[in-house]
Amino acid sequence: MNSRLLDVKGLTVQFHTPDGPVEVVSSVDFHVNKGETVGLVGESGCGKSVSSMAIMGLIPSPPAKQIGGEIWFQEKNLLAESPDYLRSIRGNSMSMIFQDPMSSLDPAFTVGSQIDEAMQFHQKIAANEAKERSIELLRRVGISNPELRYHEYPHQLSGGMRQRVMIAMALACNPQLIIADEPTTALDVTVQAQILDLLNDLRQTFGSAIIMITHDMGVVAETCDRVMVMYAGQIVEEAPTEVLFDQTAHPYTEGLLRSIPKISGKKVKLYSIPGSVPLQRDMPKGCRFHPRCSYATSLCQEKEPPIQELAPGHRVKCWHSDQVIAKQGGV
Amino acid sequence: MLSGDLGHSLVSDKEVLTLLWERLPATMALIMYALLISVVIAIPLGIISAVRHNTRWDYGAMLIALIGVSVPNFWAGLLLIMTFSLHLGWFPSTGYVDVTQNLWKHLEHLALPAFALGFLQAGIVTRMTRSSMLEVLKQDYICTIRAKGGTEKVVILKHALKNSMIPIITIIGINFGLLLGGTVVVETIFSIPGIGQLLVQSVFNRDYPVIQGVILCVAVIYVLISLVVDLLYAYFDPKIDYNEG
Ligand SMILES: Nc1ncnc2c1ncn2[C@@H]1O[C@H](COP(=O)(O)OP(=O)(O)OP(=O)(O)O)[C@@H](O)[C@H]1O
Ligand code: SF4
Ligand SMILES: [Mg+2]
Repeated sequence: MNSRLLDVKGLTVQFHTPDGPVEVVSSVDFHVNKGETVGLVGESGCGKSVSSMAIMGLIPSPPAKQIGGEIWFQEKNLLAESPDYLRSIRGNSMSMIFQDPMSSLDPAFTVGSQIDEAMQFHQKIAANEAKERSIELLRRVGISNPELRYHEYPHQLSGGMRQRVMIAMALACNPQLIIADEPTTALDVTVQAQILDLLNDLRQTFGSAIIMITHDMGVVAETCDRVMVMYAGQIVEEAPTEVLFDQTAHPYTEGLLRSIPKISGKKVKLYSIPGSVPLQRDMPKGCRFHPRCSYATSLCQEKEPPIQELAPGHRVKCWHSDQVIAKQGGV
Repeated sequence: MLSGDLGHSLVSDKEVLTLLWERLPATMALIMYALLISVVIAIPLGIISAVRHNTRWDYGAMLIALIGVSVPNFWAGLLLIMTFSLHLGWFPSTGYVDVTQNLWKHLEHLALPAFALGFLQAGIVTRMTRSSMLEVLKQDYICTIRAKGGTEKVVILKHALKNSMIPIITIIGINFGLLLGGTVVVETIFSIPGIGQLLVQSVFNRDYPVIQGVILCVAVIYVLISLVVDLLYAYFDPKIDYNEG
């Protein structure tokens, strides 16, 4: 039995913009095993959403785009499959939860009918049976009075409830893979915790694998088995969660971890990585992180570092990862 | 007047109310068909140009809409008469037959005037449908439907269209006045015995009670249309609920 559910190889996404083509995702490799939760972290604009939309086959076609590489899912390369095949797995064996629950539900239809729809797109199912199952799903995602809520419109629900509805919708066909694109960013802190608990809980019962896209290392620590760190369209480090936290090998990951607020009594200024994500047009030569990296040497400015495997499952794309690890040992 | 007595015509000595009742069916039919034609042409045209945004389809549809908006009613009317009745002889050029007498003849007589009248409205509605659809298609929830595995047909005809309807209905409601005004010209050109023609005749004859009656009648129609528009709002936008006040 193959435990790999999703295998992404050399995924590259280019957009054709008026200023010429920009490569937003550059030969990204990763995989997701059945039932595991994998984090995909990185700053805003590093290409997390574009990667996930590429997996879903949902990258909008104007602006014209070019997608390269392979995306293997259930023994098929999705990039070589027909639009109809992609549609048949979308929302069925692979589904998605979006960042902003306030705008992700159609305001003109009841939430119930929108969950029904998720089933009706893929199965021949009678209206009343769909309704029954939708109500059951609403109950499962922790919505009280689901029979009543079923008939309500999105504007009648709070943000947290709408995100629960989105989750119910994503679960409607028992997907093997759920891509959650910053599912809690738009919610306030207490609701965030509830939604994460819910996802953790559902994952145990439904057994779906989850790709958790976030820029919050706290969310990663709480939910993920493995983490991939993305910077400027590339994956720069990949490791099991504890390894990533304990033996950080990439300076960018180190920066992300240092910018988590710690509650330790005295007030410290929050760390932030200096500089900002480079624009795709003037991407630096060599390692893309070098203008912002405190370990950078002349080697980094000239040659792009290869991906090295430090330990099974721990990969890093940096010339000086030994120094980064050593520094942690020293602290 | 408030008691419903609009007085008598100074010319024919008929009751104004009777005159209005006689003339109303032709005008209402004309307006209905014009509206129907404009909506049946304009909404699909608007959808196509939004879905095929910035392609030849889009440019073609926008050209048609531009022509619709810029060609005045009377000119459209004359052109239609020249081509389809004088030249090709497909339709009668003037006159009116009531539905109750002969349905086919009724439609035949009203086809050209309804087109002449509906053209402008169609142009406006096409543009509004296009811009409204383009706006809706950018929304996150459209992506959600695709992510659920919805076909483009469901995305566009079910979700995007319903969400686009509010501005479309609004513009139809606002421009209903244009349609009413247009009947004056179109009824005159095609000699249709409707309210518009009655107005023109009574103005020429300085038949004040009739002028007053027509104006009142037009105002009532306008109010009724506004009511219909409001009811449609409630259907298309669930946030509007007249029961909860
Ligand atoms: N349709 C598009 N055309 C051109 N560039 C695009 C398009 N969509 C996204 N981009 C660019 O791709 C880059 C990556 O975008 P993406 O949305 O994947 O970032 P992200 O990692 O999800 O960030 P965030 O945390 O803000 O969601 C950005 O620089 C963005 O400007
Ligand atoms: S390769 Fe060099 S510049 Fe890039 S992250 Fe490593 S140390 Fe920094
Ligand atoms: Mg994003």
